Amino acid sequence: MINTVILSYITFVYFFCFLAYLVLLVTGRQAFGKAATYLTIAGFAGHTVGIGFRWFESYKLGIGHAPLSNLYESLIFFSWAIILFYLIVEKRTRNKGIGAFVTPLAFLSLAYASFSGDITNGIQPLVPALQSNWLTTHVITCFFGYAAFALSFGMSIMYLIKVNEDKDKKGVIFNLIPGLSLLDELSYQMVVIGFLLLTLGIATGSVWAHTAWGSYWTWDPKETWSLITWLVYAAMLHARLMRGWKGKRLALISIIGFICVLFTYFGVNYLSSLHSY
Amino acid sequence: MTDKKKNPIWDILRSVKLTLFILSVLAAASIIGTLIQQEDTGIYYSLWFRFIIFCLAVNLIVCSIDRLPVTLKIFRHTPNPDRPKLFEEAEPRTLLFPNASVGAVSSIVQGILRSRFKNLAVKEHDNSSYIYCEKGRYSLFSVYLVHLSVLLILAGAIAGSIFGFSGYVNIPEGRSIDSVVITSGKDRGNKELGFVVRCEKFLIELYDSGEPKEYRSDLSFIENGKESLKGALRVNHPVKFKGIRFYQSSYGDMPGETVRIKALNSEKGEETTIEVGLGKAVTLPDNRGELTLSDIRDNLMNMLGPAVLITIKSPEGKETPIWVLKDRDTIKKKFSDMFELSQKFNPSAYAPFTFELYEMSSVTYTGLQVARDPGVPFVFAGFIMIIIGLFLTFFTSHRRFWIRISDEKGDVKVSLAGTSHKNPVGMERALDVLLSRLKETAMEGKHND
Repeated sequence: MINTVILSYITFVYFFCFLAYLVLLVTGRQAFGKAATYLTIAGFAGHTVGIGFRWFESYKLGIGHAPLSNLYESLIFFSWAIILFYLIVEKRTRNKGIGAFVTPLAFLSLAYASFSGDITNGIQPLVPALQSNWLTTHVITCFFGYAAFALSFGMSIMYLIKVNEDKDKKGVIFNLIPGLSLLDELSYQMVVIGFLLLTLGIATGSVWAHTAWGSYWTWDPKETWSLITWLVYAAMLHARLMRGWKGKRLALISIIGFICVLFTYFGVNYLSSLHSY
Repeated sequence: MTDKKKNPIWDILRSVKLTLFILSVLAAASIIGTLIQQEDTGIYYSLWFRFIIFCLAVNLIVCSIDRLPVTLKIFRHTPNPDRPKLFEEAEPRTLLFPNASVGAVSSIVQGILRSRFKNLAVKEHDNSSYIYCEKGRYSLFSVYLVHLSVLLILAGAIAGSIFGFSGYVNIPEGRSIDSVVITSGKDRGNKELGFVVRCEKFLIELYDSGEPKEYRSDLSFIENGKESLKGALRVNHPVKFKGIRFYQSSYGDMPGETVRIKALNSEKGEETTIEVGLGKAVTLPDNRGELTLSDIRDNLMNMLGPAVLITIKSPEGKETPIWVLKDRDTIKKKFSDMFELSQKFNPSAYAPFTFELYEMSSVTYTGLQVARDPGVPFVFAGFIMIIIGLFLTFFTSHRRFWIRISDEKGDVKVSLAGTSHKNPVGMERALDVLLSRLKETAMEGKHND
């Protein structure tokens, strides 16, 4: 299938994006920044085409559905959402420093989808439980949320590195990246967006479960872990807004939150769950 | 109410530290729940888990009660337009109107502000004009909306667990049921529905791969002998009748109502096959008695496999009930022959015959999930409210602006300052926007000259 071929090539494109952003960070030469941005935009365009092809092919097979129905398709969409959010942030902040910390996440997600042996990349027909309009709504809201959290995670890692570097007074590598307070603010804003989307994702999932499984909440491991993630970010927002936590401590909670996201996404596949991924 | 603030328990209950603590504990408890009890979700219904949620609710309510008066005060109060301190603290944004009068500039500025902001207040003294205005006053309540919706969702969950139930029922194609098995909620066990559900037809459509594409039960709901509702039940499309929702959840085969039994007469060495329906009686060969099929089981005692209960009435009127097992040989291997010492399980208990369960008919059944949950409307209303509430909380804020218009040696100086109850970055941007709008006006004024 042509779509899986396109998408596996995009994996390499994102890897080169990561390298370009990294070189920009180290050398500070704007030419690499420009190249990185154009490459990322090109990769994103190709990525979108790949998803479009896959959608189209599913209709040609007579089992047409949005490509959001299995682990492979969700990984493709996850990395697409990460790059989309990143490009928006880059455009709005006019700062390319974050790229080196975000593009690898999109790269890893695509690489896992394309090159892992345990993931089937075929277009499968929808089982009756997945034949619902809630499928697209639920998956899109959840994964946009995950993507926002992924960006916050990248920014938090960056923050922690920069804090330590400022202490050491080296500051050679990271003179490009946004200032600490901007990084902190951006990371927080990403969590706000992610939290809103995760809430929407849980709510839509809940409404769907009510019509498909007969109960809006069944403590399915994936449900429970999404609640855990929600609680961690809820705690983070309260800590910041009500107790004035900032910087290092908040970056750490954001990292913990993203670990919960990853567990909700992947870890739960090892527990018995009604979710197909 | 003032001594409330001195109460140490109240102080703990209203603290955000406690909120952070409870949220962490709840997260940790949920993690333990998913790791320890993978199959059983009982931990989440345990008393101690509910207690944590109860603590969260109490903390939430106390925080709201504690903060609401302050919020209301800010909401109702229009601050003094003359706040010189604000202009000293931060670098204020300023703008010069050359050769103008304070009064004229003030009225122009007021005109601009009036169309964009609310609750304008003006004060004039010492040849200076002070203006206060604001935006998004109702945003102060958005966080209460979020917290109220959390409570609403919890209330819905409580209502569901008290007044709701869920269970299942299997209906063979063409048959009816009038009760279901309740597995959670009140009245566990068999529950009479008060009406009859009949499965007219069960249909299944497969993909080429053999996986189900769609399955569907055509149901009719019969009340007091009259059919009140007919509906096709599909996955993702439940049917509701008298407040009870029916979901298509599974399907399968179950024993039908007729079986074929082989009866071996050991005296004659003759074998006869008897076909009999549930509840029906058949005469044994040579008039040696009457066999009645009393019961059919899918899996007797949950371990003996498919079995039927036959009751044989001898010509003298003595009744002998026998359970005849389908997988007699396997069961014997599994448990030893000992159990056949019991007359009830001995297929040769009615001499001279030995009975063998030869064939069981099978029918397709539709597996339905049955649930009633009066808490659902509250929970879903809570969902809508929490989304709106979060949106307002994060993307709106109560912004307050102070503008000072003063005489600066013949020119008029306009200074801007402001505060916001959250999102300080957005506030700075709003001040910049206001400043540039005022600048435009100043430029226009010049052109008009």
